[in-house]
Amino acid sequence: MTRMFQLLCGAAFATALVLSAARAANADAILAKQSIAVAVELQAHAMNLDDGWSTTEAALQQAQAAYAKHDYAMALAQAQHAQKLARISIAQAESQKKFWRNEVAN
Amino acid sequence: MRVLFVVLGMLLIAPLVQAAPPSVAVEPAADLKAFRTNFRSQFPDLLLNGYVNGPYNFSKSERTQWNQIMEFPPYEFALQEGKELFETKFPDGKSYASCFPNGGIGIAQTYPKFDAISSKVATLGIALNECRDAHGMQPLNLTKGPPAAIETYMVHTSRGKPIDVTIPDDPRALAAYEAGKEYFYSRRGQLNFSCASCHVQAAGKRLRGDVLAPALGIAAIFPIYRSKWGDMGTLVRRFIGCNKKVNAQPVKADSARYRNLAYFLTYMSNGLPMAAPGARP
Repeated sequence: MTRMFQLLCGAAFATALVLSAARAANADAILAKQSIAVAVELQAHAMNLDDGWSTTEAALQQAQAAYAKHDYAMALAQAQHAQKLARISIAQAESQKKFWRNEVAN
Repeated sequence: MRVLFVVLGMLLIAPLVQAAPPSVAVEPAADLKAFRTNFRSQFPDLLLNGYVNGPYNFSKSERTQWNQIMEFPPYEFALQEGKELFETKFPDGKSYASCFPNGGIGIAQTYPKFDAISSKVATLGIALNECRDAHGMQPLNLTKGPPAAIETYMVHTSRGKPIDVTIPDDPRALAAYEAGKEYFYSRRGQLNFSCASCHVQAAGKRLRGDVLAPALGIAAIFPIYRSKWGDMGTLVRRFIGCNKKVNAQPVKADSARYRNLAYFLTYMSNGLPMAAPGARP
């Protein structure tokens, strides 16, 4: 009876562990997916400003490839890197967009 | 007292009211003149027609190598292939010649053109694809391969003719020209270079092992055989390559950005003789 109880407890614990791991993995996947989506939007904005960077695109592709392989930690890291690059490119484009005419005179 | 309040109020509001930006007149002819003057002051000894020789004006050793290469021009194979492709009939019995004035012979110097119907600039490559589309054929890649070969043949029939790109007095055409000009002078990419950074400000100087070609005359030699590519490439292929070099994400080959850039850049070479197909390191 005690043995049976121990087995049941073990099974319940293992199930809880698996469920919790699955939930954590699912949360990582959602987070990575959201980060990729934000990076995609930022890169599209940068491209509209004629200043999308190929390095942003490369990071984005790596994020998407990692996501496809269920490597959510890598996907998240690369997506965040892509976001940073895209934000810098947008700031660069916006800060000098109005100055392009000056270069004609130079 | 009331007057004082009104005056004070106006003084407070004044900085918030932005004056409307002065409308900048689009004057392609004035731009062309300024563009040439800039290069003339940079290279006073270089004759205008000499600009079509690009980097070979600035490096004796490269010019010697080029002269040797041109004894057996590397674009000859593309010329032959292009002629065959140009003359090949479509399934409906027509050929490319049916889509162009004068059967497509000796007309390449007038491209890019502004198409008033589509409100877009059409480069020669795009005109070829539109021709294919009109005859039920799939469009071709605009950067290399068969279209580059067909363009090679077509521009060869215009060799020596002065570039004659027209910008009609149509606000849409002027806007396309202005957009191309803006693209040319705007910095972009992680390295923050504009087209002008290399091909105006640093023209004739070295970038690592390469001599930078002046923007003036650069459009006169495309399509080119580049030793680096090992085959022919169109002007848009070069745009994509330049974008990649400064870590800027290239846009689609048939995008408005590249069409307009080609429009501006080729117009800037108006009057110079067509020297295409060319050969470059």
